[in-house]
Amino acid sequence: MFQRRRTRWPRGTRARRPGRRRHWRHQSRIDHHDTETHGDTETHGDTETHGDTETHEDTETHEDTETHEEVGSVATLTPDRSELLHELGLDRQNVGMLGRLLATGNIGRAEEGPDGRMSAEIHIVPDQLVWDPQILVLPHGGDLDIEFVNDDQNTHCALVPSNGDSQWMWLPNYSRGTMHVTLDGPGQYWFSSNIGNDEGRGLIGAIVVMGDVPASARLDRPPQPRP
Amino acid sequence: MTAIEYRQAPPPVDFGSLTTATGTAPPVAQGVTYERILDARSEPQNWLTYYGAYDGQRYSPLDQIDTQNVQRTTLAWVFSFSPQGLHAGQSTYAFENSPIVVDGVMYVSGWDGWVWALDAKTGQLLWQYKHAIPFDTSLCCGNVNRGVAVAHGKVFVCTLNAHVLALDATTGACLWDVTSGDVRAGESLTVAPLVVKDRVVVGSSGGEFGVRGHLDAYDVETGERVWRCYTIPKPGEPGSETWPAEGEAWTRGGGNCWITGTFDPDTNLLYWGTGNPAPDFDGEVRPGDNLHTDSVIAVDADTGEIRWHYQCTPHDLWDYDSNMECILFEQDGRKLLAHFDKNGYCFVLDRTNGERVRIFPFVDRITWGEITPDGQVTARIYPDEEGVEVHFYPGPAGAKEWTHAAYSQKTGLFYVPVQDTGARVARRRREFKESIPYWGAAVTVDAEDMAGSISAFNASGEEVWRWRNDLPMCASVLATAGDLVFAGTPSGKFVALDARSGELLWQFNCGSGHHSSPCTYSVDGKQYIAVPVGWGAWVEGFLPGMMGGPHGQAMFVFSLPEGQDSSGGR
Repeated sequence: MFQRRRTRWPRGTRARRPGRRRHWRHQSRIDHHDTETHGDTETHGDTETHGDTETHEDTETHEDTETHEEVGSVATLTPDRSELLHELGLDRQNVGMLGRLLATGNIGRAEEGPDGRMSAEIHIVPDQLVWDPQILVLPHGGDLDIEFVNDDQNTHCALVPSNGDSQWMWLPNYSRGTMHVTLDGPGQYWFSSNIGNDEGRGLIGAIVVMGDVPASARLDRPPQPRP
Repeated sequence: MTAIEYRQAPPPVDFGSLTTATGTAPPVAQGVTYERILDARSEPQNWLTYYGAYDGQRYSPLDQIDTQNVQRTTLAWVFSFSPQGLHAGQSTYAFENSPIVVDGVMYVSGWDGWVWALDAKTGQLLWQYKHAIPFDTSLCCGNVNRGVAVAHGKVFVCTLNAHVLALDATTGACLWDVTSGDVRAGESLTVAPLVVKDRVVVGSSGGEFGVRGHLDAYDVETGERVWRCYTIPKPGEPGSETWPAEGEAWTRGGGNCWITGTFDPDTNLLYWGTGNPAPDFDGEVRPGDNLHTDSVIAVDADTGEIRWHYQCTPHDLWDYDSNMECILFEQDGRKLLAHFDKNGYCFVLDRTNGERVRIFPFVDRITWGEITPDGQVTARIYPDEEGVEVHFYPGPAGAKEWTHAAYSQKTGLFYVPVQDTGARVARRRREFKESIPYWGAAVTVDAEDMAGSISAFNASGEEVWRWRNDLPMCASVLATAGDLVFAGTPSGKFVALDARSGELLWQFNCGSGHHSSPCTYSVDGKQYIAVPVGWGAWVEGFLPGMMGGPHGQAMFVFSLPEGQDSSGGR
């Protein structure tokens, strides 16, 4: 059973991001990028995501989002989670808490090229100390090119796990640069800006690798139940 | 509004390039062959394989540091490391490593996918490798790795997300990477690989998540899997009669091989311990002996077939893995092995055929049941009725956990790290679901009324001496020809005992508890003792009274003071 809810973002509530190219699509939106934004959209409680959100680059952004939530599912988010986060000021800097709650940022998907190589663009939102998207989803393990863009007026950096060695780069104010990483799948990998307390304030993000291990690595047994 | 001009950020770099690492190690590993590992004890300056030699004795012929001068031993260098950012098991990581040393280069693995090459004389970091480990990997017992294997110019290491890697020993670059297990099923790898002939042998972890344990051999050059040995038989295979004929208990049976085995080239057999059955404490869903869980299995090194087995705890209801080492030794012309089990008994077996030679207890309190000298097992206290709590000794971490005993060829004694701790367990049945812990019980381990010791036994099972510690001893032991026994305590002390009397001769406070395997080596004729220090892992299982103990993350290396060179680091 699903409860449906439509959310319309007010016109002009999202700031234009200079020089932005979008390599990912919002899957759902569970935070606000600025304090003027209200009417947040919702997350979903199962893996059957519906309600993609399409964004545009200008101030005339219309973001119709239709999301679903499975009622009664264990450990799902409550329907009013986003509103409550916002009401309590946990989804932006220095309102309810000092920073912002981790993993309350946007979710995006990496794009996959014909050769399987993936790419994504991740921004740092001005004065919000949050990656956008903060949760980047890859369809499988492999090679990923991330273009980081620092839209903030302070210097940060990016430390991203990668097989062989973590990759690290400076992200001075208003700068952009591309990093290549390699990740096995599946699982969740944290990345961050590891200076000052950027991490505690919110600049911790997750790269989520979907998929399964190769058939050769699976156990010789019948399919088993999962949670 | 003025458009903002964006600038190009400085290019990304390997994070390891922002350290003092030189980037390369001398090509000493190129010459490490199977033949050299076979004869490892003939080059005592090195610690070529996990136990120092294939026989698992953890004994070194080095004797520069001895009972007369060990009091002058001082710190030569420290390699300290701490992670950046979030990593899996942030509260449970531990430094469980056993260093490998080849001609002045030390190869070390840490928690969370770290591998380092160090100058064994100065502590200088030469190179580092980092495998990206998922934060959400299923880990029963902490973010740990027990070591690497080195041969053919390569460093072999397992990762927590169940990959096996071969790294270039001079640069740390990855040469091949194979997926060995299924993280979605709850599998991981924590074992130190063992190179035998042209294969690298690894065993899986994940028994607490109801996987089907296996041992695998990979080609050292290509990473191709040569054989896989499942420890839990499928229906119709030998041993399947010890599992329910109906149902899927065998598919979740556990029996993982998460500790390195030993090897005898004469029998061509690998002697590997297997882990607990799953669910750990709820035996009613798996009636039968549950082979080959809690067993010593003798595996043909060429084919992966199980030639014989000896089960130490049939139908385990106490989480008594038998993973710990099988020490190979000879007595009265017989080729034997000694295995100190979690269940509190030592099993001495004829390693040619698995015949029982001797069984003796090595801890004071054993209440779960009894094993007679002729091998008869009688269970007395065990979780049976749903929700009814029972208390037994040893607790699920065992009278000795995975940490290793040592055997001195000079004294003929075994030196055993003993844990004397009980636990309360109530059976709580649960459904099996992949990747979710599958214990079948509520468990709390005692945080008081516990004890520990390094206990010395002769091959006949007689206790010769005991060095007592207030806390259980949870780290491996090292024996040397200097008539010394080295061991670390949970409180952080690293001690040297007289191998013949157990007298405490020297100690050093390392600042964090020990849960690793020390080794010894020499460079330019100078002997060193190395011990990884970093308290953590399954502390709630083996010593909850030290759950609040400080995590550490450093390699401590000791030597006599003359000629020390601590110039590592820039």
